[in-house]
Amino acid sequence: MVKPWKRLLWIKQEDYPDNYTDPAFIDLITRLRYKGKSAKPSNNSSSVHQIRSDLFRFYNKLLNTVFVYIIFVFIYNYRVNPVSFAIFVTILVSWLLSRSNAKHYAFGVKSSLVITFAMLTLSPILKSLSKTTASDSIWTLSFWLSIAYVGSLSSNVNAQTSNLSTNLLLAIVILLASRFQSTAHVFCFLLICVQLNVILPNLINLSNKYISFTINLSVYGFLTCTLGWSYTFLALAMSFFYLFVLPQWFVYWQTYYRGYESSLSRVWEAQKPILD
Amino acid sequence: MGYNIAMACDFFYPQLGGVEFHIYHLSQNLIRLGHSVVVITHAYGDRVGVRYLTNGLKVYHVPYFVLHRETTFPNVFGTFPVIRNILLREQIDIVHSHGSASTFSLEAIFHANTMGLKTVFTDHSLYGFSNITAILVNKLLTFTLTNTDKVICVSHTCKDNMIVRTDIDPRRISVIPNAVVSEDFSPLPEKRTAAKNGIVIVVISRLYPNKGVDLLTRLIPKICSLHKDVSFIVAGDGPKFVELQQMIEYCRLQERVNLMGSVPHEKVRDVMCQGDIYLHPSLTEAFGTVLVEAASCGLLIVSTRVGGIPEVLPSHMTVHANETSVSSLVEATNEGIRQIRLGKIETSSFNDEISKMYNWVDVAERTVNVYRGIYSDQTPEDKNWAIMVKKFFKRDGSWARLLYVLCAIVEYFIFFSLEWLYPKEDIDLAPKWPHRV
Repeated sequence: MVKPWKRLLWIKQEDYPDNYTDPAFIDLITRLRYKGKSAKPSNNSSSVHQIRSDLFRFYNKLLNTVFVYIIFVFIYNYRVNPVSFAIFVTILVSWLLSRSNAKHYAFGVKSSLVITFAMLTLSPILKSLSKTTASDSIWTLSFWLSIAYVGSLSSNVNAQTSNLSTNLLLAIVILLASRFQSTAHVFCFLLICVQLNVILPNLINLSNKYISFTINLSVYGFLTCTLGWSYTFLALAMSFFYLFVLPQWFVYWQTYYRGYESSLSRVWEAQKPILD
Repeated sequence: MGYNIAMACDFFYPQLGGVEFHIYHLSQNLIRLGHSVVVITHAYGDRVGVRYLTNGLKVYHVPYFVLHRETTFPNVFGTFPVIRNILLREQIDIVHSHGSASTFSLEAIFHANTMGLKTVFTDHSLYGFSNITAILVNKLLTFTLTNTDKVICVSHTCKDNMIVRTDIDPRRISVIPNAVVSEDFSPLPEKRTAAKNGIVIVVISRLYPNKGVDLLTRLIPKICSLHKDVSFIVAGDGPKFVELQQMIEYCRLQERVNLMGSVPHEKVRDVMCQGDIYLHPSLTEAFGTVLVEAASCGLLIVSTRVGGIPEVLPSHMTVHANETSVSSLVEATNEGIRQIRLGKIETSSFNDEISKMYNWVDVAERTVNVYRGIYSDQTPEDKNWAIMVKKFFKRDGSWARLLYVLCAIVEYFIFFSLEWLYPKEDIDLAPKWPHRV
């Protein structure tokens, strides 16, 4: 009489070789992966709607970042005087700020003033920062820094903006600002960019219907006016892929390709500590 | 006549740890059984070149760029010239690699297969599927194990994990557990009396999040408030050390919790012997050698029930917490304390029992059985290049398999260039350590 196999290491099971496999486990995995690698559709995949709204939030942050370049082009290429726009943005932001948290208003004003004066002092230095560097180097550098900035952004709306992404943004802005001719331009550019990209996203919900519509309209409008329809079309196609094709595709993948692994028991993953 | 075996791994002496001890003890016992063993690892500090350990265990410390936590820089082909040279010099029959996070071990298997040698791989850890490190390691392992003759896992859970991760024939995988030198982990000659001195709970672990330190920091104050005669010894170091320190200061437990920091391996037994209960709150574990060591010292084990832990020790030595929660662990610890107080369990017999369950002679004999199995199951086509490439092409997804095939073909080109640059005939053969029969 052969003793039944036990899933234990501390007993010597003479009747079974070391390469004996638990038949129950073989049963389990063959049932899970009938048809080779592609397995049963899994039920616990996320909803398309949820994923799309997450992607949409990130998409709006991305478009908001594009404003750095739009404003730069207006000042650098089209010689637009940024002073009036800077005043407009400052009034808008301080109005929103006083509305959102009156409690911290005094503190907010104080630190804003300190930062503003620091920027004012630094502007002449920043202006001459890259006098000896070719513009092409600046464009390349700012491009890669922008990529890094986008990578450092978090799509989580509740997450605090990380120091890394704020610093990367400042690096981009300072690099670009060093191309300007006048100190006032440098100062206004810094002020606008910091307010639009660092302060504003904390005060308003960028994914709000109306705000998002305004952002989209201005970015694509600008793109059409400067680069023409073909580029706008390309950008729109990419956005369409990102917002409509990608979530569908992801859920499809989760359902049909990850089913096998996600339906197996989780004994191998490090367990979550329950801190009750 | 014994086999000529090469153990390849990034992790070896002077670094200490589970894998390192496994390789060392396995090698020593294989030598005792009449086989010849060399170890191939990377250079540690000024420990470069060939060194000899006890019984003529020859260690090759290959100078190589170390990337992260003693793992060398992965690049598939980089180690080929030096590993080919060592394998030819030592006239190796079997390459036995350890650890899936070790570049050296994976590359050694790939090169040995190219050279037509037999290959064995031992895995010591569990991997999930949902983080980027695990995905990369799994892909790399799938590639390496395509043509590996035999695989050894340290527990049944580890074997199941391996089947799912790399999709290889379960018959090629054997389960051989780790072992301990029970003489090195013997209890004190005079047993401490828990009733008189109070109960001491020992925790020895690297203080990383996956070892369950978060559970530990919440458990200690609760147990201390429930029992006035219970104290803790926590040995080990890691990023969570500070949190334990803060907990001790916040709860004013300086008198009752002894935070020792890292303890050298030869002192581990002395620390264990000061306690009655060994507490193991780990969140993942393939085997848990430390549990066997503690039980061998005559401690009652209180542990979570993760990974391979339920397979390792009989029920009279352990109290398991049903889930990885603080409340469940507190419950299990209370049960352990109750059992010690009642004096129901006879821990003095643990050492004898463990020495019968887990010893290196047994492990070495079972490993030799695996080696024999390679020769009895071999077919002439096993190491045929065309067949191996075919197997690579049948593995994994549509992109990965092309990459696998590309790597294999490049490897064969490098093989020819090496044959031309450093002909096999020009490589000196190393004399073998004289073996006393």
